[in-house]
Amino acid sequence: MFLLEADTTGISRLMFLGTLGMLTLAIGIIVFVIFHQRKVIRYQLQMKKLEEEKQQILLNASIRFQEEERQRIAADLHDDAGPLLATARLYLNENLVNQEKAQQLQSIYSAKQIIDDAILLIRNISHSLMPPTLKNFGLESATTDMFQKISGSGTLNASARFHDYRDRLKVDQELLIFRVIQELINNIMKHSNAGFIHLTQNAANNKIYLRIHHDGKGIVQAEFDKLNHNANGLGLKNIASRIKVLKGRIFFEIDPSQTYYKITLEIPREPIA
Amino acid sequence: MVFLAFFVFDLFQIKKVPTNTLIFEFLFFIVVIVFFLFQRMNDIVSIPISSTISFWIAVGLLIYFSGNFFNILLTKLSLDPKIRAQSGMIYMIVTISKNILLCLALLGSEKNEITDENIPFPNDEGFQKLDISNN
Repeated sequence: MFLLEADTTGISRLMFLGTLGMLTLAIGIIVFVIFHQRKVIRYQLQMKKLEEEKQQILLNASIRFQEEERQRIAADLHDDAGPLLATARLYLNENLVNQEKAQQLQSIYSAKQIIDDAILLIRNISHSLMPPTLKNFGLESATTDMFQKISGSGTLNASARFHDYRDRLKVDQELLIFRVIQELINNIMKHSNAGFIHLTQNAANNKIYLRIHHDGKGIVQAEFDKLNHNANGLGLKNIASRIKVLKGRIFFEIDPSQTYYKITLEIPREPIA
Repeated sequence: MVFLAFFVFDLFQIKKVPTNTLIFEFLFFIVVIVFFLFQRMNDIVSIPISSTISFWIAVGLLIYFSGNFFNILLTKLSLDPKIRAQSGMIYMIVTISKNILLCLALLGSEKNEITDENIPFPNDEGFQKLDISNN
């Protein structure tokens, strides 16, 4: 009614201001959409860049780890196997010079002993590359074996228990999990000053769960993420990259009682084909 | 159904309050376009929304509907030639703006958003020819 009674000037003004208001509102919405979307794109790009940087750090860590491993093997072969074989060669050379039977036998015996030592050394190097227990009997046996050896050394109490590991995983997967466990145990032994380490395995929803408890000084998830993004700390980066390959997850936490730390691995099951 | 109802209402009330259907229609399209813009804003994350054709079509239509909304609402309240002229002027400006935007949208080329479907994979015919058994 008000509109019907309004005079021409009023209607004209209302029409002009109304149209202007509507257009301003429409342009405002358009500008908001454009700028908000640009902000989202910028955020996405930043996230992508961060992810790429993280990938790069993991890749570098993996390459550095490989190089260190090669150097270690080269050093083992050069410093231990090399001199042993050279000595054995010396004993055998002596046989060519010395014609006395008793001395010949003595030097052959010594050479044999040295060659035995060299064989043992090379076997140890080979086992450190691919544990035979893991290859032949699987993750459960290899892990239990490793824990028994640690416990046998008498420095700390270590035990492992597998509750649901009837079907073995793929060999590659088992090796990666074993390396992660090795690295974690190594870290615990080196840095945490723990009195006991206990590993439990369980399975649910087509996933394998491994939990390590220890009573030493551990880290929580935030510290792990921080150390993982740091340029140093090769071991943790290796753990992260192996977990990524396994498409799994790792959680570092402290028990509510604050008496021990827990590390949980969640690995999707990929049974042997 | 709603449009039909408004149309029938308009038929009977045409002399008193005209263009109810149009007003409703304009409001409806404004809401739909704004909703569409917000949806596109959330969907597209790899390229700027302003480089897509659909965005400029939506902008053109939004300016057309919002610019003419008050025109439709008030124009038939007065038969004064001054109002008619002003209404015609607003309609013309808004319609020309819309048409320019639509032309620009249709003339412009759209950058394709990268999806799994349009990543250019190399032709792998060569791999099929490989025979492992022959070695």
